[in-house]
Order: sequence, then structure tokens, then C-alpha cells
Amino acid sequence: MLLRYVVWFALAGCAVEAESRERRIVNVLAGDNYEWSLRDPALVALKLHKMQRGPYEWLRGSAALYWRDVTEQGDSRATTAFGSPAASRVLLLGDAHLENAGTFRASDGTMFIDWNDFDATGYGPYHVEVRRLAASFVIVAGIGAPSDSALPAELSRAVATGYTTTIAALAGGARIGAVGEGASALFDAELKKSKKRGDAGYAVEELAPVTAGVRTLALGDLEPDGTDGVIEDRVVEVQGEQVAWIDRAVAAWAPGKLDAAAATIKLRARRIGSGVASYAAYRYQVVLEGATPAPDDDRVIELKETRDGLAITETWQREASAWNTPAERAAITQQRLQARDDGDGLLGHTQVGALSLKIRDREAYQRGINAEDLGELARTDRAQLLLLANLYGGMLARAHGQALTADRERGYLVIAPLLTGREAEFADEVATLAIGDAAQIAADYEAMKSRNLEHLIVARIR
Amino acid sequence: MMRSALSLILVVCAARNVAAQDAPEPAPEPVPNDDAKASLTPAPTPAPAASAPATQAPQSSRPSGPAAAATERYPAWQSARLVLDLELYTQARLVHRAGDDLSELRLDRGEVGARVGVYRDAAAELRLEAIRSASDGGALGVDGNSTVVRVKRAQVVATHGFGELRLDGAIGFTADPWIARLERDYTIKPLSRTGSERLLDWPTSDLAAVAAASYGPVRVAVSAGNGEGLRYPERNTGKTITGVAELVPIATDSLRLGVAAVGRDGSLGVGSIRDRRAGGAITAVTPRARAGAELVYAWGIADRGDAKALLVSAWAEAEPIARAVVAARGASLGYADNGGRQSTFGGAVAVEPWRESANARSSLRFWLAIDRVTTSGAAMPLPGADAGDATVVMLIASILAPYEVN
Repeated sequence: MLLRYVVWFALAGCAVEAESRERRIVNVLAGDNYEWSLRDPALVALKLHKMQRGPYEWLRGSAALYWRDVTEQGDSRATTAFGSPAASRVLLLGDAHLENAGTFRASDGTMFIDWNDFDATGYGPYHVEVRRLAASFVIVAGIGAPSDSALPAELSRAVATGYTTTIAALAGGARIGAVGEGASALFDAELKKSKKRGDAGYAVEELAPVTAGVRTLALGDLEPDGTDGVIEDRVVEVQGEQVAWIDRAVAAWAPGKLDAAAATIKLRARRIGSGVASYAAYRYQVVLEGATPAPDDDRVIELKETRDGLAITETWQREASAWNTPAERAAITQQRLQARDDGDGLLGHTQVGALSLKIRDREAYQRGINAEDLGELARTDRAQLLLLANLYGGMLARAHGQALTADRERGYLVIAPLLTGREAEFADEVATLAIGDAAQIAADYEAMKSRNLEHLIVARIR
Repeated sequence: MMRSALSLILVVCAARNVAAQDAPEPAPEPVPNDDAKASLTPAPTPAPAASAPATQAPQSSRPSGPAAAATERYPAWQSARLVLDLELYTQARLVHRAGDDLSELRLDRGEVGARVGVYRDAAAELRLEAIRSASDGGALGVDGNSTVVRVKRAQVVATHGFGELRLDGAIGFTADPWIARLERDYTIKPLSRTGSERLLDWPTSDLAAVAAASYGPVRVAVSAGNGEGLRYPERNTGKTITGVAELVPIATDSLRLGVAAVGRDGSLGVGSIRDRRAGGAITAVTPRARAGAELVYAWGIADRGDAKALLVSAWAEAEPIARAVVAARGASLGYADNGGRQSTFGGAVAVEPWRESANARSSLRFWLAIDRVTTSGAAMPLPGADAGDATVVMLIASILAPYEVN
């Protein structure tokens, strides 16, 4: 033992021990899932299994790793030609990828497409988020059309072009509206389906169908578990303290949203299976009485546990969060980043003890975009996929550009000067870096897809 | 009855303590060094508790300033039955960087410790520190982002002498021997933590067992612990070993010179990220000035096992006129493989409006300090976008308040 250290110290100066990427991945994922692993190790194990299904699932579950890779010192990292301190404090989604968008219904009934996941919002560099969005398209291209070698760069450039065009429009004084019907065939189909389902009360019927005039929870698996054991969609009865949490949360949230009678709780359940990054989070679904005691106007809301979002701590930002709670951040930034602030009339937040809950309408008007559908387009409709990449780039630019930065300026004011007249170079940089990011994500997935992550991460935390 | 008797004893002890503070300074202990006899400088009191070795504590009740040059090579065992210690730094600061300036009031350090002698050669220590409950940039803390108290040290310490050879041991939440060595003469903690702690994420305490042996001018300390510091329990099967070897070739009234070397081999987190260090430090203490430097090479920083970096850090403090202190410090971490560099340089002036004596262990200082923080290359927080450069002006109040009952 002693000899080992004597030899090591003697050789320390010239020691070359390449620490594996694997260890960093394990450490970062362990840190990202630490509290959940202590609370619910089985669900974290399933989350890790889900991440091992494919590179896109890996991307979804490894946002923390991505941000640490691009913002932590200690390694040679890509230098952007399109950054500035002010443009490093833009309000970001924190996890922009193509599955984090979906349909919404505004208060006037208009259906539109917008970003739908605000769990990780925070201030940061806009260009990194453009990269990450483009990387998600690159990965989809790799899955859907692996032999199409030109597609990744074309998709990345389409994202960048959509971004620069929209920023330029904002800088020119244009008001950018929401993406509605007619933008793309895939979006149109999603809007139509979600409207139809929403009008029919699909979500509340799925969660708690009416039998003999009485609404009852459909407990159990709504979808069969995956062959890897991952719970796909399960409704679980809540008991004890969780009932009390839900009741307190709804009581605190309801004033100003619904009158007391309409907000009366009818049924409560925990839903397991959604998402990847937040797979192990508490997701409660609550059926509310609605305007009348009859079951046909019942409403369903979701109470989702929210944690801290994006925090790039080495830049000179305040050490404290700008918001009082994580759920408050998620709810407020949703309204700041979406094209319309009436996309969810029930959007709110509340704090129950240490549990921060974002509350939203869970009816089927809100429905997420599926990466598999875009992967299919990579094979069957390349032009539409490129159009979608452009639309996503534009949506991201609109979100970044309209929201106030940490310095209380509109985002486009600090972004536009960096891009004007250099749009093609920006597209080149985004393409180069996004393809590199996607390659790293794919390599990480390949390295970890067969590893026993439950043993490597969850068991050690326990 | 018992309570009354105890109260009486405490009152008497307190009165004796006050009386001792009011009394003329005690004669110095004999110093086994010829240089000391030749010195014209009045000999100081024995080395204070805060200069305690890694296995001893409280850490902060060191002499208040440069005037206290200790003639002991290594701190003596504290035989007091009870030592209480308070260390508190609070500041108002203005950060000037790209974008809006940031002004804020902060509590940089709030620590309280108690050490109880349970036997002539054994003691127990509990030391608490105040920290913010939410992570940087986060909101998920205790009741918002309240300041909460956590355990910094909780250890059983023991000592035994065999003639000139002294053995010390500790187990529990123990002080890291390297940080303890650096802090022993480091009187500018209110301005900044040591370079190792701040730039290399070196934990100040760890769940560990520490053994130390001192003989004449040489002292060796070895710690074997979890390596996870204060934030986590053990997360892997490997232990972190830290060894510190010290030499104090000169220990006189006019100068105490110490050199030290460190080696650390361990792992961090469930991924067993390597956490290896090798380095050295030098410290010089005179009655009117003191200075130190450290040089540490790191293999693995935080979650980056492949990161390699060299830390260079130096500081100096002088008391050109009574109760007025000037200080300067600088630390720079250069990453290998074109990883860039991050540096902090600064200076400060301080006054001690009240000081009981030149060797008083209590200290109240008001500092006016300025720091310049820079990064370059890939060490920028966001390469090409935000260098993170900043100028920080600080008005700091620092207080060290030890209290002993013998």
C-alpha cells in the first residue's frame, strides 16, 4: 500500500491516466437524480432504463450533462463567434429539443403550437440552446435516415436560419405570433387531433371514465409496461400525506382560477410513465368537479413536482434564483416564453412544504410532438422535416427574443446585433457544433446503453 | 443545588478569565531555540488554540494579526476544559462586470465551535457553520433559500507524548490536514478562502480518521476518509488518502518559517472521479508581517476526472503601523491542454479599532478590499461569449472570538 503511494507520487508529474468519460456521465447523472434516488430508487432505475432505449431518450435524460459539458471549465470547449455577456443572460427553455413542443388551446379557442416544457428554464447563452435544438434534429435524422449524410447539416442550418430570420423580424419591429394551422402538415395533424380529443374530454375520460353515471379512476396500467420493464402509463391511487399535499395545493392554487365549487376535488391519482428527465417526479392528476355536479363538465389538472432549473453558476449572475420557488419559475417563464400567455388558463404554482408544484390544465388540448413522427419524416418527407426545423428555429428565436433577459432587456435587442449580416456564418457554426454535440450524445448512449446504470448509480446512492 | 454549584464555578471561571485578560501578559514559555534568546522582540504568548494541528480545533482562534509570531514549531495540545469559538465574516460588496453591477450584503462565514476536554489527552469538538440552503442559482432550499446551520466538524481528538515525539489522532468530521496547514497562519480568510479550497474544491472537512506525528521540526499527518467533504456521505468504495509533511526549520520570535508538502489520492462521487493532488506550501511569519504561497497540481477537478490544472497562490499581510493592516493576495488556476486560466488578484487595508494586546486572540477588523477576477481561453465560463471578468469592491467586518474555561 505504502509502496503504491510512493511510486505514484514519484510518477505523478508524468502520470497519464485518462479518466473515462463514463465516470463523468455516472457522476453527473447521479447528482442530477440524487434526491429522487433516495426517495424513489425504483423509479430512477426505470428512468435510466428509459434513457437506454435510444439516443433520443438519452438526449432527453441528459440535459444536465449537456449543460455541464458546455459550461464547465477544465476542458477545451468550443468558442462561439456569436456570443456576448449580455446575450449570455437570455431567458432560455433550458432543454430545447423537438419533443418539448406541443399543442395548446388559447382562451379564444385558437389552437397553436408552442414550447411545452419549462422545468429547466433559466438565464443563459442563447447560442448554446440553438445548438441543442439543432442537435435534437441531428439525432432524429440519424435514427430516421442514417444513410442520408447531408441531412444533419441541412437540418442544423434550417434551425439556425429559422432562428436568425425571426430575430431579424423582431428587430425590425414585427410581432411574431404563435405557430398555428397551415404551418406544416404534421403540425396541422397534431392540432386537429388535440382539438378533437380536447373537445371530447379525452384526458379526463382516460384517467377516470364514467361508469353508471359515476366517474371512477382507471387505476392500473393504461399502457402495458415496456419489455425493458419501464412503466409506460400507470395510474396509482394516492393515500395518506399525498392526499393532504394535493388538497393543500389545490386550495392554494384555485382562487382566481376557478370558483370554489368548480375546484372541488373529485378524484386524485398519481400518474407514472411520462417524460424522461422528470420520469421520477411526482405527477398528480386531479379531477375537479367543474361547473356542475354532473360528470360531463369535470376537469382534469396536473400537479407536477418541479425542481431547480438551469443555473450557469460561473457567469456573473446573481447566486440566488430570480424566482421564489421552482414551480413559480416554471409557470412564470412559460408565460414569458410562449407566444400567447393564455395557452393554459389553469396554469399556476404552489408550494407544499418542500414540494414545489406546477399546476396546469391536463386536458388533451395539450399534446406533445413525438420524435418518432419526425424520424419517420426523415425517411418519407425530407422537405417537411427541413421546414419543421426552420419552424422550430423560429419558435426558439421568438421565445428568446420576446422574453426579458436577466438585465431586463428584450432578448432580440442583445441577440440581433450579433447575428445581423452574419447569418450564414451562424448557420455554419450551429451546424458544426450541433453535429459535434449529437455525436457526443450518441457516443455516450452507445457507451452506456448496456451498462447496469441501476447498479452504477442508484444502488450507490442508496 | 448542583445547578447552583455549577453556576458558581462558571462565574468564578469567567471572572478568572476576565481577570486574566486584564492582567499583564504572562511571561512566555521557555523556547528551546537559541535564536529566540537573542531576539529583541518581546516574546509572544504560547501558540494559540487556533493554530492547532489538523487534529485540533477550534481553528480560528489564532493570533489576530502579524504581530503574533509564534515560537512553537507546531501548536501545543489544548488542555483547556472548554473552548468556545466564534468566527464571523460579513460584507457589503459591489460587483462590477459586463451588464448590470451587482450590490449585495453577504454573510461569508458564520461559525461557532466548542471543544470540551474529556480527559487530559482527549477532547471532543463540535463546530457548526452557516450556509445558504439552496444551490447557486437555485430556489429549492429550506423555507425559500434560508441560511441554515450544518456540521463542519464533529470529532474526537486525542494526543500522547513520548518525549519529544507527539502523536495526535482524530476521527469523525475532521479537518482536512492540508487546508488546516494552509489556514494555520493564513490571516486573510475574510478576504478569501485559500486557493486550494476555492479553486480546487478542496473540502475543509471530511468524514475521516487523521493521525499525526511531530518530532522536533518535522510533522507528518495522514488522513483517510470518504473524500466527499461536507455535502455527501461516502458514494464509492475507495477512500481518499491525504498526506501532509511539514518542516519548520526556523521558529524564533522574529521569524517562523514553515514548508509543507502534500499528496492526495482519492475518488469523488459514485463515478469514482479521480481526486489527486500533489503540491507544496511555504509560510513565513514575523512580528510585523506574514506571507505564504502554495503550489498544487491537480488531476481531476469536480466531475472532470480528466481535467488537470496547476494552482499557484500567494498572499501577504503586514502591519506597518499599529492596528492598521495591508494585505494582498493572488491565485491562478491554469488548466492543462489549452483549458485556459482563471485568476483572482486583490488587495486590502484593514483596521483593528480595538485590540486588547498585541497577542490577543480575539480580533475585530474592518476591511476595505478590491479583487479583480479574470478568465481566459476555455476557462471562461462561456468561451467567446462571457469571460466572467469582474471587479469586486468589498467592505468586510471580521471577528474572531475565542473563549476558554480552564
